[in-house]
Amino acid sequence: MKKKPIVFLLIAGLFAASLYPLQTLQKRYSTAFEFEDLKYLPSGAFLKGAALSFDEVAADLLWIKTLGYFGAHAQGDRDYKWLYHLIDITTSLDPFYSDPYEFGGVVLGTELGDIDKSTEILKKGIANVPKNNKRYWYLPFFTAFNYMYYKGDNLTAARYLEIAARYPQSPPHLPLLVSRLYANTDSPGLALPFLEEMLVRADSPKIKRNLQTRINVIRVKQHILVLAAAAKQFKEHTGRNIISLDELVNSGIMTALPVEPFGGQYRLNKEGDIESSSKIESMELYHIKKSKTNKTKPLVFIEEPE
Amino acid sequence: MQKIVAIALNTFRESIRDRVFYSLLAFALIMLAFSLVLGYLTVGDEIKIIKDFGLAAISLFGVLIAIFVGISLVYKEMEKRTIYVILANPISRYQFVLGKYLGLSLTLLVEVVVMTAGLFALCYLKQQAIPWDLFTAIVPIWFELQLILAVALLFSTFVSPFLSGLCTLAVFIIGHLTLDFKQLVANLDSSPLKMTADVLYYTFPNLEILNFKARVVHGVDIALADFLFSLAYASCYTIMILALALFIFNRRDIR
Repeated sequence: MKKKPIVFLLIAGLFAASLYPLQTLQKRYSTAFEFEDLKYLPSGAFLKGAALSFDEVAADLLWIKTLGYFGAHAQGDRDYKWLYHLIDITTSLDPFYSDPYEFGGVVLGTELGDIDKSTEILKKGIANVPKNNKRYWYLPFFTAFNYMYYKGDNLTAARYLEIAARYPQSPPHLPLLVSRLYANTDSPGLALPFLEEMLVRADSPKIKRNLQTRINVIRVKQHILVLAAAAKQFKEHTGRNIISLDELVNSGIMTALPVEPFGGQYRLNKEGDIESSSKIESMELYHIKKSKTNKTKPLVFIEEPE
Repeated sequence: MQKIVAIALNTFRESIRDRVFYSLLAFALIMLAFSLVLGYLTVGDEIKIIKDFGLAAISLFGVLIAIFVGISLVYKEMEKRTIYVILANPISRYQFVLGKYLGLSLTLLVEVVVMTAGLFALCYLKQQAIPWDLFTAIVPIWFELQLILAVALLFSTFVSPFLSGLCTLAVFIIGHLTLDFKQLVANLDSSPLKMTADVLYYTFPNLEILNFKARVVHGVDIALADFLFSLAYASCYTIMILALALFIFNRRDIR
């Protein structure tokens, strides 16, 4: 007759009794357990097979774990030794997923200072994320930032920025930054085909005007390089420096002086260097400098002076 | 044809009343709801997680239903001796097996439709638009379920439900791994391994080519030919398995 309450009591008692070891174990594991288990996380290639056709779900879960891992350490020891591994696996499981690449690209660079890993993740993203993704351009953009800001490699930076600028979602002033980067390398002419293509595609008169200015600046730089080479040749022949640019034509080294695209003219300055009468220096890239220590600098670094 | 339809409808009624079906459907819907919680935990694209989980739930629980309900299809009739009553009527064995198959196929359609409706409702809740393009992933999932169901039915005609459940699950797992295995072995020098990979690849169903989930969720363009060829492949393979099941069942001595 009285069996029922006893059974219920027994069940409740056993349930309560099971809570004690559970809590004790929880306390014991709370310290190192969570991070220890990441060591045994297999490679992305293996997991991709093991997940059968549920790779994306596995990637989602791992992505949330990655965010948790980052958040927990960001508030504590700021030691993110498993972060790259986590992001690498997440992106191997779902190679089309743009968020982890973007996050990894920024955080590995700014928080860990590991520019090579950051660039590696971003390049993996550039190769895999579908081109129609609205945020695709961020990947080459951040890669360009790594090359320019941390490595001081303007030429590679310009190439990546050129990729970013081709996507319609990217900011309209990006092409101008590309041309500035190219113009600051040893071969400014590299920017010309890119800028000419952008000029054809541009739809607003303001952007067209800006692009034309950039093209002209690069032409000026190219002309100055050609003139300087001719002046050097002149010195080799005559043993003296030129006094005026006309000497280059008169001596037969050049058939004619190039036309300055802004309507100004080329001349020799006091130091004997060739320059243009138009002030093209104001269009140069002086505010970006190589730095390895300043980590607090914001990511947004493009300002377009009007 | 009428006889096949009659058996199919009967099977459908029977399986739709099955408790296994309801519990699996309930778990699938819970998984769908769980994606909402995960969506809140993520940074960035919340709808992506909902779509991933929704499509995975349709596929995973569809496979489980196909296996758990499918394996007992024929075997149960034989064990309960009800098959004598059915086959005593002017019904041929092939009509019986096909009717069984179509009945459960209808049940799976119900599962897919219910889950798709749930997924679309969640997506609508989140972004006020119904992602119709998900059908590009859901239709191949349905074809995959048909194939798995045919495999379950095949095993059901000659081994016990437990064993046929295990075998069907194995086919599902191998079906998703053969492509990886083939690619893995392709770079090795070992020719016996390569041959094994080829044998596995061509004899077992290649289920991975029916997997459009990631591409659809990320809006990657899918060539119409890819889509149609994968469906054609699944159809051919399913019909082949069904024919094999009919062949075995026809020769079987039912006592």
